[in-house]
Amino acid sequence: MNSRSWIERLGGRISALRRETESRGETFYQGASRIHLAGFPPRERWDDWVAIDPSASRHGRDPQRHYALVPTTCFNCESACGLLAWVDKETLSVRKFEGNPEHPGSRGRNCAKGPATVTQLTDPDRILHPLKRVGERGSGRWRQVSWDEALDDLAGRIRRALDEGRRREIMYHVGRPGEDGFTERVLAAWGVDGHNSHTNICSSGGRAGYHYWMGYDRPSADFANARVILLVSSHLEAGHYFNPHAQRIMEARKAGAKVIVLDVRMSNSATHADHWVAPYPGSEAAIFLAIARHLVHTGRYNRSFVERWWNWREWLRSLEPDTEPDFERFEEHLKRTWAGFTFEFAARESGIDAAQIEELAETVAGAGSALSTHNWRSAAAGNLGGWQVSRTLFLLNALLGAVGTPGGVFPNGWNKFVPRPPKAPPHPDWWNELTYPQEYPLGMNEMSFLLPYFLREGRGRLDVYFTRVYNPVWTNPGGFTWIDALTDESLVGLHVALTPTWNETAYFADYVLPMGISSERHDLHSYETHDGQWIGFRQPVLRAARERAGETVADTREVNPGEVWEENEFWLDLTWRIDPDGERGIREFAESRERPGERIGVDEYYGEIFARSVPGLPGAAEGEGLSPLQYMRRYGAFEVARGVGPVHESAVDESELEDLAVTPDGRVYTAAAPVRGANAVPTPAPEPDAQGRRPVGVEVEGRILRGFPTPSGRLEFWSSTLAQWGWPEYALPTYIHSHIHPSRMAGDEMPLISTFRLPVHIHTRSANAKWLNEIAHTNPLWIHPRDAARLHIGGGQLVRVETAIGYFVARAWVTEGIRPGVLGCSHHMGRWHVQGGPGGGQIDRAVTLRESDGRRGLTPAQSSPESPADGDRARIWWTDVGVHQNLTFAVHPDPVSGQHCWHQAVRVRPAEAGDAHGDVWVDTTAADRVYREWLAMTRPARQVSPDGTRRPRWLLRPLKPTAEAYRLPPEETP
Amino acid sequence: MKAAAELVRGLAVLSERPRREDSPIATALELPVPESLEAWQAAHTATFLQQCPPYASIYLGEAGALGGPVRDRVAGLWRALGLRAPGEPDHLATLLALYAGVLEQAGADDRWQHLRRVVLWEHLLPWLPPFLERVEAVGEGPYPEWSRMLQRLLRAEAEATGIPPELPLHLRALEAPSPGGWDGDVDAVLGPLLAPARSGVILPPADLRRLARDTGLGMRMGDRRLMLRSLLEQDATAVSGWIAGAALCRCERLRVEERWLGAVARHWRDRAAATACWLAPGEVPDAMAENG
Repeated sequence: MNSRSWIERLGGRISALRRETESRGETFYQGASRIHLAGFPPRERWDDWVAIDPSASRHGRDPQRHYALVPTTCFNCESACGLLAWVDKETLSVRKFEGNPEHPGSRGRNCAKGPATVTQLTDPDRILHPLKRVGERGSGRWRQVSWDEALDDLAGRIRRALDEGRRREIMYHVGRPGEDGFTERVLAAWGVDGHNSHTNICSSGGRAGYHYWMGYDRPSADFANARVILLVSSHLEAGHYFNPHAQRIMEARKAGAKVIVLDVRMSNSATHADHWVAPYPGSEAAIFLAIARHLVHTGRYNRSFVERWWNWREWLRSLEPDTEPDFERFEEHLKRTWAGFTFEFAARESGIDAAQIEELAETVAGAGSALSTHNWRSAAAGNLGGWQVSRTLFLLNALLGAVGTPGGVFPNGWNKFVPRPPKAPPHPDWWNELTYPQEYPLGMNEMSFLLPYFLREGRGRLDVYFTRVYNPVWTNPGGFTWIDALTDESLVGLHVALTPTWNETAYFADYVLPMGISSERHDLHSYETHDGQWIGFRQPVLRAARERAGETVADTREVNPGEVWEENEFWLDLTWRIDPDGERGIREFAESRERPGERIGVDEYYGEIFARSVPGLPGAAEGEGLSPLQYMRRYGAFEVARGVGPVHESAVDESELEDLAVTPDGRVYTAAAPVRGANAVPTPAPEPDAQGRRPVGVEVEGRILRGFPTPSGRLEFWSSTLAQWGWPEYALPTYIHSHIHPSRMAGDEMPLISTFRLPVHIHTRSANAKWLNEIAHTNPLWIHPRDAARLHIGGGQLVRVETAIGYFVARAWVTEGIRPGVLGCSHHMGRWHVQGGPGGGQIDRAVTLRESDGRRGLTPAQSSPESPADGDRARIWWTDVGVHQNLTFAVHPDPVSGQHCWHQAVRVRPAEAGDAHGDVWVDTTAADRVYREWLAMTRPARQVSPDGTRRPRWLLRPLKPTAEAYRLPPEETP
Repeated sequence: MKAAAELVRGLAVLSERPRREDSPIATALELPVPESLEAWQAAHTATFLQQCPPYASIYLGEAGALGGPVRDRVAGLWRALGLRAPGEPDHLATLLALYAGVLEQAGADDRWQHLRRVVLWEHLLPWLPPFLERVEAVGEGPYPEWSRMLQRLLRAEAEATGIPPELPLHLRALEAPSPGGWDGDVDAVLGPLLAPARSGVILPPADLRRLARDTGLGMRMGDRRLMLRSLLEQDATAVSGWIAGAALCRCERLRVEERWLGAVARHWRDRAAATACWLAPGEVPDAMAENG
C-alpha cells in the first residue's frame, strides 16, 4: 500500500456518503456550524453540570456545585430571548441565568435584562399571595385571600355577566403579551370581544405603515445579510427585538455593511452608525421621500420589481379610469407626484443639509436588494401622521426590490410560526365599541388609551376589568384620568390586576393576583428575528428541574415562590369555574381530551401542540429519544425553518386552483376551500369576490404566484383602503405635517421627545431588578447647551416643563448629544407609590396625590427612593428616581392609525421657588379639551364607510368578530 | 486530491459536536464510536471543551488565549480570498473545512496549489502536530484514533507539498524566549508556560492532574492557570522539574518529526528545550541547552 492509498480508500467512503446525502437534496457539510458559543455548557451535560462555587472555600463547603440547566424565555421585553436557568440541584433554587445557545433567535446572547431576572425572582417586595382590597378602592389596605376565594368570586361575577347578556362588560387589558394567542382564545371561549392591548400607545403607527403596503403589519429585516441598514430610532440598543436584531446588525457591519441611524439623540445606536442623522422630529418621511425621488429620477430603482409587484395598475385606473394602465405612464405620474420632494425640500423640513441627504440617498441606492430598514415606535409613534414614516421607509425597500431578499425586509408573517392550538373557539359574534369605536375605522389596534374617556362619556361600563402585567396609570398619557376611572365603581365594577409586582395601577385594584415571571410560567411564542421561523417555550424552570429528577408537578404553584401562579393555569381554572357544568359551551375549551370531564393541564395542552402542530419537532425529538414536549422542556426552542425566502414568488399549488376568476389587474380568486396550513400566524384576509371566491394569488407573466395578503395581492403603493375609507389624500406614501411641526407651534415652544427607552430597562416591567436599577434610575431632561444658555438653565438645575395640560419638574442635563431646539426625556422613570400604601423599590418613591382648584397633582413625599427590605439596602447610593412625565401628556390619537402621538410641544424654564424634583400638576379640564380637539379630527365609519361596515374586514384585528358583527348598527334617530 | 479532500471533510465533521447522523461517517473511517450518542457527545466534550480546545490562537498566540493577532491573520486569509471570515476562523473544524475545499480544487491550477500550501503550512501545520499529539494522549472515545488519522493525513500532505524554506508567520511573529533561569516567581512563569507556541509544551488539565499525582501535590479545581499556580505554590521545584521533563520528552519526539515538518518542528523543539532549560537547567543536557 503506498503512502496515500489509505487516503483513497477512506476518502472514497466519505465521498459515497456525501453523494448519498446530496441525492436526498441535503447538504453534506457546508462548513463548521456547531462550533460557536462553545463556551456554553454542552447540552448533553445539562442534566448535571458541575461548576465551581467561588465562595465555597470561604465557607468550608465543597466547591463543586451540581446544576440542572433548564431553558426558558426572558419575560422582560418582547424579544423573547432564550435563557438558561442554573438550578442548583442541592437547593432546587435558581442561582443565575445565562443565554440559551439552542435558541435560534438570540443564539445564546442576552442583554442586561436577561441575567438580571434572578434579582426579580428574589425581589423581597414582590407579591407572593392573592390580595383583596379592604376599604375604599385605592385606600392602600389589603388582605390575603386564597386562590379559591378569588377564583370563585371572579368566576361568579363573569358568569353572571355572561348569563345576563353583559359580556361587553368584561375586558382584559394587556401590555406586551409575550405569548401567541392563548388569552385571546380564552376570551373567545367566553364569547367576549374584550381584548384590549397597549398597542396604540406603542406600535400602531409603525404597523399601519407596513400593513397598508404588504398586508402584514410588521417588518422582518434580514439584517445579517444587508449591505445598508437604515434604522429610525435607537433600535440597535433598545428597539423591538433589539438583542436578536443587534447581534445580526453587528455581523453585517463586520462584513462591511453601512449603518444609517436617524435619531435626534446621540444614542448608542447613533455612535455605531456610519451616518448619524438627527432631523427635526416628524420630518423623517420628508427625507425618505426625497431619497425615493432621487432613486426614481436617477433611474436607480428596481424597475422590474416595481412593475412586477407594485399595484401601480390600480393607481393608474383610479387616476385615468378610461385608459389601459401602462408602466411608462405610471413612471411619468410617479415623477410628477414626487417632483416636490427634493433634497432642498427635505432639508428645509428636517434641518439636515441637502448634501447630507443626497449622500444618504446614494448610500441607499448602493444597497441594491440588500437594504434592511426598520421603524417600530420612535417617529411613527411620536407624530401626527407618524404612520407615514414607516410607510415611506418601506417605500425605499419596495423601490429597490429589497423585499423577501437576502439582506432585505420580509413581512413578519413569513418569519414567524404560530402552531395551531388543540381546540380553537369561534370568533365573537358582536363588536366592542369601547375598543374599536366608530370614529377610528382604520385604527390599527384597540383605542385603549381612550378607555377612561369612553367610560366617562357613558359609552359603556366594565363589570370585570383585568389589567395583565400592564400599568396604564403610569404608562398611558393622562394617568389622572385613569385614576379617576379606576376609582369610580360605577364605571369599573371590579378591577383585577394580574402582576408579579406592585405598580401604580395595581394600587387601584380590587384583587391583586401574583403572576410568575420568566422562569415561573408557561408561554409559547415566535418572533420575526431573521429570515427563519422558530418557536420559543417559556417554562417554570423549577417544575422542569423537578420533573427531570423524577418528580411529578401538576400545578406550577407547587414550585413557584409563595402562591405565585402562572397565567395559563389560572385562565384554564377560571374558565372551568365560569362554566362548571359545561352548560354554557365554555368549559369544553378547558377540558382534557385525555381525561374527559377534567380540566386540561399544561402538559397535555403543550404536549399536544408540540406533537401535532410543529413540523419537524416530533422527528427531532424522536432522534433524541424524547417526546416533543420533553424536547421543548430540554432545549426551550425549536427552529421550524431556516431561509424562508420570497414567499410572494412561490407558485400556488394546483390543488388550490378551482373555478378561477382573474381581475384585469391579475388578482386571482379561487372557489377551492382554504388550505389549513400548519402555521396559524395572524394573516390578513382580503375580501372574496362577488361570487364568494377567496383571493389566492396573483397572475404574473402567466403564472399564479402567492403574492401578498393585500386586497390587490401586490405591494400596495396606492391603498384602495385608505382611498375608499375617507383618506384619499393619504392613499400614497406621503408626508404629513406633525402636530409638532414648527408651523403648528408657538415661537417659544419646543418639541419634547419622550419615546426613547433606557437600554437596560423595559417600561414598568424591569422596575424590580436591582442590578438594572443601579445602572439606570433616572430620566433627566436632555437639553442642548445652546438652548440651555438661551433659557438660562444650568446643568443639574431643576426646570419646569410645561405641556398643554400641566407641567412636571425635572432636572436638566445639558448635553450636545441632542439636536438643538429639541428636548428629550425617557419615559422609563419616575415610578411612584402612594405614601403609606404598598410598593416601594430602588427606583420608586412615595408620593402624595393632590387635588386643588380643579387641578390634579403628584408631589414626592420623599426625596429619595425607598429601599427594599433586603441586604442591599445600604448600597442604594442614588436619590434621583426621575419624574413621571406621562401624567402631563394629553391624549393625541392619530385620526387614521389611532396611535397616540407621543411628542409634546412644551415650554421649559427654570423651576420656581418651592418646586420639588418630581412635582407634577395637571389641569384635567384642559386634558378633556385636547381629547375633544383630537377626536374632532376623525372621519367616523358612519361618514366614510363605503359598504356599511365598521372597518375594512381584511385588516388585522385581535379576536376578529364575525362578518355580521362588522356591520354598522342602525343609526339612532333623535 | 479529491479523496484527501473527502477525508479531510469527514474528519472536520467529526471534530464538531456529534450528531446521530454523523455516525455513518465515523463508521466509514473505522473509528470506535460509543454506542450511545450521549456517551459520544460526552467524549467530544471531554476532549475538545475540557482538555484541548481546538483553536489555533490558543496554541500559536503570544498569550495562549482565544482570538488576538493569530485569529486576525487567519481571518485575513478568508478576506484575501474574497470570502467573509466566519465568526471563529481559527477553529479546527473551520480550517479543515476550508482545507477540504481547497484540496478539491488543488489540481485545477497553480494558484490552487499555492493556496493548498498556504493553508497547510501557514495555518494547519504550525500547531496541529503538537496539538494532535496531546489529543491522542488525553482525548476520549474515538478522538485519539481520530487524531492519529489526522496526523497521518497531515504528514502525507506535508510530504506531498514539500517543506517550505521559511518558518510560518504565526511562529516568526512570536517573541524570543527570555534568557536566563527562572527565579521562582510564579506570576512570571504562568504566562509563558500556558502559551504553547512560546513554551513548546501543551499542558491540558489531564496533564496537570498527572503532574499532581506524580509529585504527590494537591490539586485545586479551576481553570488551568489556577491549577498550575496552585501546584507551583505548593512545590515549585518539583513542578518545574516535572514540566521540564515533559518538555524534554517533547524534544525527542520533535527531533523525529523534523524530517517531514522542517522548521516548524525545530521551532517547537527549540522552545521546549528552552523551557526545560529555563525551569530546570540542571536537568537539560548541554547540547540541547545550547540549541535552546
